[in-house]
Amino acid sequence: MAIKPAGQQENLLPAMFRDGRILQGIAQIIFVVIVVIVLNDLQTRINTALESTNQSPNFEFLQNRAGFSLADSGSYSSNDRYIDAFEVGFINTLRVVLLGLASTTVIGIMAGIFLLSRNFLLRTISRAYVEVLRNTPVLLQIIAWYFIVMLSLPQQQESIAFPREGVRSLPLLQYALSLLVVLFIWQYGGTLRRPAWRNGVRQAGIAVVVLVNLLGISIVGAATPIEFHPGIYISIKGVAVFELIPSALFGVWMVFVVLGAVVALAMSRYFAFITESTGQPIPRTRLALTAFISFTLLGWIIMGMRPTPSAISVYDDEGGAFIEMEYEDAFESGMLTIEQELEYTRQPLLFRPPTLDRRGRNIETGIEFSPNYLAVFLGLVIYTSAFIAEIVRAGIQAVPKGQLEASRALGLSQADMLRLIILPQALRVIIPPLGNQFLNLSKNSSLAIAVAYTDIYQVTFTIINQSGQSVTGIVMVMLSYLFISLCISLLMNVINQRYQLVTR
Amino acid sequence: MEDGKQQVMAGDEPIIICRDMNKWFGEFHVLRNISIEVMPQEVLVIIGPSGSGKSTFIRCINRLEEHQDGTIIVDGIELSHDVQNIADIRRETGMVFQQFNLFPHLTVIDNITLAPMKVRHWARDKAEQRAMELLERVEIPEQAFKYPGQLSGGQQQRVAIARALAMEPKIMLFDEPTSALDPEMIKEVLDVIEELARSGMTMLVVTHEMGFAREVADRIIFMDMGRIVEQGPPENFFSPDIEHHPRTQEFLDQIL
Repeated sequence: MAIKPAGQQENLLPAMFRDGRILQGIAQIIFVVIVVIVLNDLQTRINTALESTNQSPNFEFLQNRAGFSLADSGSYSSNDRYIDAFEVGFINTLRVVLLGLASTTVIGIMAGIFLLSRNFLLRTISRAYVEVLRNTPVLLQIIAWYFIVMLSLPQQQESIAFPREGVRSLPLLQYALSLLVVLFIWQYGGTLRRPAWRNGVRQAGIAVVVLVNLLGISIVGAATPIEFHPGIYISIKGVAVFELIPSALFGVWMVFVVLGAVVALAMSRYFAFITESTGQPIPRTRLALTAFISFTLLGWIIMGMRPTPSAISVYDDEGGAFIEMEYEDAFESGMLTIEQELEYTRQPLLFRPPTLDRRGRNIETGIEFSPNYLAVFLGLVIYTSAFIAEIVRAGIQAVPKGQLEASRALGLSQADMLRLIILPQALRVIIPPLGNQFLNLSKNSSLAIAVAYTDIYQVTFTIINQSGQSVTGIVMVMLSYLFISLCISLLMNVINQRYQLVTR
Repeated sequence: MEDGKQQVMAGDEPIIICRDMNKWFGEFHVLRNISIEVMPQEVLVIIGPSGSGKSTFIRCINRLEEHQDGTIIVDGIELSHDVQNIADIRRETGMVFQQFNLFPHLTVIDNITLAPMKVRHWARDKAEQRAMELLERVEIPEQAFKYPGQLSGGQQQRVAIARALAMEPKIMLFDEPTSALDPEMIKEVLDVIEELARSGMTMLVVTHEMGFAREVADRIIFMDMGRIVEQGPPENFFSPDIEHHPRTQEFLDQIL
């Protein structure tokens, strides 16, 4: 049979227009042209419509005075611009999303591991937790947190305080000695060869020490009275938490902290190298952590030895004038200004308990979480954690049983099997759906409007109502969520790539 | 049938002793009164129909399955709930599985060096050197830095054998090592196992490869319904002149 040369057939069309590649190219061009025409038409129509109602999209209005006040807004006031209000909303959304992602991951992983527990009670409780929470709408849960939990908390005057205010006696010396005894028993137990004895000695020893202390049996009687200041207040106004403010010594102390971190890292590397080259097992993480904590504490103690000025000038409220006082007296009487305290304190971080302003209504020092914030935060975290628990459970169960059998047959310890075999393979399954749940949490945060938390959506909604700039407003909200989501996706993709398997 | 006393080779103490071992899966009685002794360097091949308990039997020896009744003593250590004993026995027994069970997230060489480094506390250099020697022995040194997913089934199973050998075990357990392989790959794996048998390793092999069994076994055990029905040296076992237990005869008629 004769071979047909390309383009030699009897046909009305020239050969070029029968080439599949060219036909595809033409189709692409036609499609692009149609899309451009449609979009252009749409844009013209929208613009004309908006212009006729005097709403043409622009970003200039953002510089105008907002004129409305916002809760959870820091230093923002109604005299600030629209763009400042928008920023408040964006930061509030980030506050929910970032803290929410961290918390929900921790709770979800724990619940997921409990779902696989051999302990019947633990397993059943976590199963109930997961089933109830993931089968009810998240909106309902947020509203329940707000109206049932937050609004039934006590008034601000009767806040629940942790720890209770007052002076209590603690046998500190005995506690310190107990800790030493526990550490000693732990170390001694570690030298026993049989795990049954090892665990038995450790558990029995610690139980005895704890029991002695719980029963209040005083062996070393040094009781030290300690003044307790509440660090956390819980009331209908939300949760107020103490602040730690870096003082003048903070910089020097950070040198110790950084040095500690460097030493810990170097130790960890060095011991890893020793283990690799000699095979001798060394608990390098524990040793490195001990070094880091030692440096940090050492820095704190050395900072504490700094002399304070003998006399200091403070403002006397009663006399209405500055007077010279002994530093210790001024400190005791609480007459030092915060700046003076930060300058002359012996602590790198100054503990400041939450206090109310003169009118007793707003918080002056400390970090405040409003009930609206807490309702959104808890609602999202608890709801999402139920899904993450299931993802973690499925991921662990997805590791084939043969992998466990092979690890056991090789004699790997339970800990090594979990760390080196199960976890790397479970993470491969867990990470992609985990990323989806992260995205869900960040987008569900727009439900904050249900409990009037001033997140980006609620603030922009107010801006739109007031300025009429709906197109600009919605575009800005969309871009904000898009930005957050893309950041999460990027992070998850980077992590995901590390755990992918190599196959042929 | 007589116990295989003629199999006494190097050493005179049995390395594995099972006495009246019983095991149930729920109500199902999988292993019934298994009593057997394995001498050092002996190659024991276990055959029998599916569900006869052969795999369960060898999985009891390194405690992947728990026996409920009777005694198992491996290398002088009794298997009980004592986790230290279990760890000691697992250190001395290597196992090769039907489905290879290589760690897919580790390279071939890391698969092999992992246990020696973590369990025997070898230096990396020593473990890697040993791993390369073993890869030479199973004839795939060029695959050392690939991942299991990049290898053929036969190559994967040879890596699995090298991985078990890296722990320098006294006993090797093979649980149907060729059942998941394509026919043309079976031979390469059997060659490796055969070479190992000749080198004097104590081995328990569950297999359906009768030619291989005849070739390498010192003793063949035939199991059915959780019992040891018959045992003896391969020349007797496959011999048509010897009168077999009716169940054995039936099985042999099926496969030969």
